[in-house]
Amino acid sequence: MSNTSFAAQAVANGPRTIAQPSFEGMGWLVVINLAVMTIATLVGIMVVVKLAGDAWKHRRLDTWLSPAWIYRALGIIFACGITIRCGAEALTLWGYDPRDPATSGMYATVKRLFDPFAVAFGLSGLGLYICSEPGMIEQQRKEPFAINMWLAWPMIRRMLWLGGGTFLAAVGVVSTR
Amino acid sequence: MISTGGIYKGGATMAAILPVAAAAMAQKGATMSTSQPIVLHFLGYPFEVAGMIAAVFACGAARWWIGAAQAVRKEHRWSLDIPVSGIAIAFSIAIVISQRPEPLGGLLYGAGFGMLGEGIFKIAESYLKKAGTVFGIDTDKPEE
Repeated sequence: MSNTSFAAQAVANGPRTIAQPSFEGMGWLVVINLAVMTIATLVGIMVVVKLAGDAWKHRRLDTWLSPAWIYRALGIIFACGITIRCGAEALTLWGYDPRDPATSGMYATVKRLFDPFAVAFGLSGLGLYICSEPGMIEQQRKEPFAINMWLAWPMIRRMLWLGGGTFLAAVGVVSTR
Repeated sequence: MISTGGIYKGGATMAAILPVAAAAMAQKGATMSTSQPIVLHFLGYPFEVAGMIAAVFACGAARWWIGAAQAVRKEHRWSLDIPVSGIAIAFSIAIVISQRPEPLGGLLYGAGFGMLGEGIFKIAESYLKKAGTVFGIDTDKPEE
C-alpha cells in the first residue's frame, strides 16, 4: 500500500504501538482517554438532541433572543463544540491501527480539520454568553427564586449509566486487543 | 422521587471495576509484536473480542440510553422494546462474527444497528396502534 500523505507516513514509519505512540504504552491512560472522549461525545449528542427537540417544540413560545432562547442556544452551541471536538478525538483513538497507516493518518487529519469548527462553536458560545450576560443577570434578579436543580435528574441518571457502560467497554476493548 | 442512591451504587461499581481493569491490563504488551488480540470462537467461527465488545456496547447505548425514556417505550417494554433490542444486538453480534471488524468498525456497526432498531420500534409501534383500533382494544390514541 502506498502511503501518500505525511500523516500516513508518520504512522507507517513510527513505532508499531497498538495505541498512539504518545501514550508511551500506558494502557490505563488509553482506557481513560477512550472512555472520556466517547462519554463526552455521547453525552454531547444526547444534549444536542434533547435541546434541539425542545427548541423545535417551543419555537412559538421562545422567540428570537428571549432569555429562554438564549439559555437553550448556549447549551446547544457548547454541546455541539464538545461533540465535534471529542467525537473527532474518539474517532482517531478508536481507529488507530499501525497495520493500516493510510486510514489512521486520515483520521488524524480529519481531527485537525474538525478542531477549528469545534473552537468556532466554543467561541461563539462564549460570545453569546458575554453579549447576553448583563441583560440576563438583570432579568434573573427579578424573581429571586432558587432553581430546583434536580428536575433534570432522570437525564443525568441516564448519562451516568452511559458513562459507566462506556468505561466498561473501553476497559474491555483495550485489554482484549 | 429524588434519590442519590444511584450515585453511590455507581461509585461502588466503579471502585470494584478499577482493580480488575488494572489486573487485566498489567500483562499486556504495548506494541504490535507483543500484543495478542483475544480471539474467541462461536460455532467454529473466530471473532475478535475487542470488536465484539465495541459493537455490543454501541448497540446497547444507542438502544437504551440515547433515545430512551419515552413514555411509549415504558408502556411497550416487554412486548416491543426488549424483543427489538434483542434483534438489534443479535444482528450486531452476527455481523461482528461474519465481518470481524476492528474496534472502530464494531462501534459503527453496533451504533448503526441500534439506530435501525429505533426505526423497527417506530414501525412496530404504529402497527400495534393500528391493530388495537382494528380489534377494538383500548389504545391511548384511538382515531387519527
